[in-house]
Amino acid sequence: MKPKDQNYSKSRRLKNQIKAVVTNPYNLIVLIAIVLLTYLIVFPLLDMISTSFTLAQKDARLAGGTAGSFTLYYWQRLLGSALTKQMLLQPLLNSLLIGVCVSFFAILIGSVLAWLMVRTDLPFKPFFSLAVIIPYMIPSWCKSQAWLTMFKTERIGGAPGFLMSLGINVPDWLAYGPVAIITVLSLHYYAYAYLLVSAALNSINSELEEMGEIQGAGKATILRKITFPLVLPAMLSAVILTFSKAIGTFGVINYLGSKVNFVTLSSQLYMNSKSQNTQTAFAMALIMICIASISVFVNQKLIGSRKSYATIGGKGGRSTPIRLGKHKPLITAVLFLFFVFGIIMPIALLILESFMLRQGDYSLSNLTLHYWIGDPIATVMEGQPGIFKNANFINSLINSLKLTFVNGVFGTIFGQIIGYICAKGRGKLHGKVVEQLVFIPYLIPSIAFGGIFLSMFSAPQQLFGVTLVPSLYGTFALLTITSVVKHLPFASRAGTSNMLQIGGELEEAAEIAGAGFFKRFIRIVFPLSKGGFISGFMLIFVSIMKELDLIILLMTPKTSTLPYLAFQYQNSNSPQASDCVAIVMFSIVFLVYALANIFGDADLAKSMGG
Amino acid sequence: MSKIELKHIDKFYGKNHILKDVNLTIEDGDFMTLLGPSGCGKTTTLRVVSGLEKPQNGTIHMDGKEIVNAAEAHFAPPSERDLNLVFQSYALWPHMTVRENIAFGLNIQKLPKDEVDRRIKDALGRMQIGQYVDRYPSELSGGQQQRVAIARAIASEPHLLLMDEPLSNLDAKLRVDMRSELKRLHTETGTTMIYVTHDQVEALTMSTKIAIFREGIIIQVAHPLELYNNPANLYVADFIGNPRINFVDGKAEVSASGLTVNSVLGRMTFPADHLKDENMPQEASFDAVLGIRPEQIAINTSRQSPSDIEAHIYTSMPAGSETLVTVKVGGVSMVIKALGITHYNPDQVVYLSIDTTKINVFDKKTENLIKYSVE
Repeated sequence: MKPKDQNYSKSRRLKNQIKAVVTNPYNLIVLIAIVLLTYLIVFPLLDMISTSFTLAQKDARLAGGTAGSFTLYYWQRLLGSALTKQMLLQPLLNSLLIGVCVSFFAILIGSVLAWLMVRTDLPFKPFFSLAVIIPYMIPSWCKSQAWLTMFKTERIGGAPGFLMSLGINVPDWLAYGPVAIITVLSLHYYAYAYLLVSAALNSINSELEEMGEIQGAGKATILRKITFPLVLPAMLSAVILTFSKAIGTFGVINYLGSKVNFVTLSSQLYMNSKSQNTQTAFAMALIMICIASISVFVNQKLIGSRKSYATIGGKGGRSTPIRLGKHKPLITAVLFLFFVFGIIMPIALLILESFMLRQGDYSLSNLTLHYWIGDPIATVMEGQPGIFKNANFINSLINSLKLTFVNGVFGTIFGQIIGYICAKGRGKLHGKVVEQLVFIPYLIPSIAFGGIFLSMFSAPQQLFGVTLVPSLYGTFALLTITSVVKHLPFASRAGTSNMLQIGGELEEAAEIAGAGFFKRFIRIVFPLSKGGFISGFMLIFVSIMKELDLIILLMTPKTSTLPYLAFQYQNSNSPQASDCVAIVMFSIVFLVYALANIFGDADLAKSMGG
Repeated sequence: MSKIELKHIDKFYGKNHILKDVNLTIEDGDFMTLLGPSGCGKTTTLRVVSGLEKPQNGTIHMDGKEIVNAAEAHFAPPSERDLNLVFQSYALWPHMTVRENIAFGLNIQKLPKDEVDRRIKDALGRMQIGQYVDRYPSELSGGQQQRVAIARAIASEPHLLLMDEPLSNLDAKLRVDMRSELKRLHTETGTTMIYVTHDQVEALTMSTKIAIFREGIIIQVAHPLELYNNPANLYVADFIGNPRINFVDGKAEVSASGLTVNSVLGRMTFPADHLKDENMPQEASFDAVLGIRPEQIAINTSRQSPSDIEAHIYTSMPAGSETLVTVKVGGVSMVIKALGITHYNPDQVVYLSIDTTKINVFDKKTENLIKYSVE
């Protein structure tokens, strides 16, 4: 094209090019990240797909083939056999029912709350703003436990719930099944919608609304025509987040559904997985992944280019609260009732029940500290002592703390590094690849995710005959890897937004000054993102502390965590002990959250802008 | 101390061709300004020189030493180019005090501690902000942050100082102050500087040379006054100068004695030795554009000479030391800069006299300059 300088030399060009790639640690880090992500995310997914097409030993005779050969047996059984309705359709419909209803109610509650908190002159805002996010901190299975304590009927044997003991007859449809599940999950997931929508509302300049007012629009019109469209993208994001979480949830279904044979895809997945029907379980997991992918796709189509609405109007601007006027006392009262019944009462019930020797006996004489600190009595809980004297509990507590701490540290570091790559590689191929890879775990339901890792790491991982990873079944390492990878989408999203806040010029200035990659990372990038590191750590900590769905399939007695212990106690009909464990866990979560709020600027919404 | 030669530099971002065969020589001790509207490639050029961007084609030599040879994929890292950069955003590290900000690069160079302290003191003293040495950037005003950014850049005593629109974030008054400081800094240190701006006043007042960019191409490199008096083409003429140059269309004819242009301003004749022969069209008659600076027109209320041109006042805008008068001549409007405060009524008849030796003539088709301005 142009006269090149005469001293052009091909070999020198090649040498320089290789040197540039090899001596830049950034390239190395990107490479390692891509290899690791491929190994930990793409491989398991492929493994899952191929497993669902491979005939297992125990089905070989029935399906008429040899073990290990290619088969459509599982898919055919799932999709086109007499069993389809029972195995797939009914659970699928139930899952969709739960997903759609929960999304609807959660988004409704969350958005209304967000609007009230951000936009109006609601009284007692500091109290409310703390109270509304408590549901985020209480795991959903804790809430279902509280629900049972309240509404339990004699149908399943055992002791009556609080209402029954007061002489109020609770119908079964209220105590168990879809109504109970939808209520509990809505009360849980509205926190996501609340956090996302309030962040969006906060970024809208109130001048936009005031302009509408000047044009003569009434409050309702402004809300409908200006505010609502502006927060719509955030609401749709919340829908996706809630929907995919709701169809992937297992704990609540197990607590409130199993008694009345209400099954969903996730509970079927668990059952199949537990009974070694791995192939069927994976096929179901793939169906769930498809549903999640479709919902994300639809979401992106719906939002499209309007994604950036919230940031238009720029600097947040002044915000003039909208007066609630004469509705103020009524709205405040409704909110108070909501919090009393939706949040305080469940916790209070759990605490109360944990002190009751026999379930359903609300007399004073029945109160005891036995489940907390009691010595073993042969007639109670098969002779197990109170949790603080129980080696199982201590073990689970240590496991939980260890798991959350290790995960918090690794998850945050990986999240920040991947965030760094995504931020630096914006618009470039490697940035896009990493961003897409890291998003995949988001689509895989927690329980399926645990299942894949279980099957993948149960056998030693070999490459060319060399054992890369030994069998991890029942080890702490497996729990850690699973949790870190599953939480990567959130951690890296937080990391990306964190890194984007650090202007590229700050790093370039250091490059000009002669600082190498590591020096830049340690001296410039890390100190500037410290706040993000801390809040990222806290978020992962909180999230993993309450995690049940993800790790339930991986649990062995040795690696048991607090949620799993509570789950076991509940299933073995010792709800009081289960309550005790839940309360301990909730206290830790709350404490950590409070610390994060005091010492860092932990912003819960940041981690999940889904 | 430092001579930089850019040869055949091409830079692409994806499919976007940002720099198109840029050739530029910056002599030792130059204050070279890269001037142009946003998105014209001037900042990219600066970043290519700094080593933050790698061009796809071309070479860069610094004092005869090759620092970039795109064909051989040789790109010396920024730290080996003995230069420093002042960013538009200042890029002060917010978690470091002023002292730590400046010491950062010096410590990487492994200078002894007393030398580092001396350099910090010198640099801050030169920028007159010695008292803020232990403050964090967020505790400083915009102007002070700007000074810290410059102090950080000069503390490493670079042979080449690059500045990327350093004054664009300052308010108007501070900007004027900093302009004279930077010019003083240049004369005192003798450092070669490359300065990027879209502000032509900055460029004209500070530089020893200006390179005008347009869509990734350097259109003209010249001394500021030369650029002002003899812009290479209509684009440069239009870009440089505030208020803008007046363009008047006309019909040109070439003869042995020189160039004659007929326009609403009448018949103007320009002698042959004022013409730029290489740009002259082959045709005997062609379309031309007269380029007349607002101060090259004198305005009077009565006719002073037979060649004066009759015009009508459109608006008159007194601005203190000068008055900007817009007049209409045969449907063409022109802006005239008159010194002092004068007052004209709308539609008043006035008479203009134009010094034809000073004005420019451009070929309308090629847009190139064909007649010099002569003092």
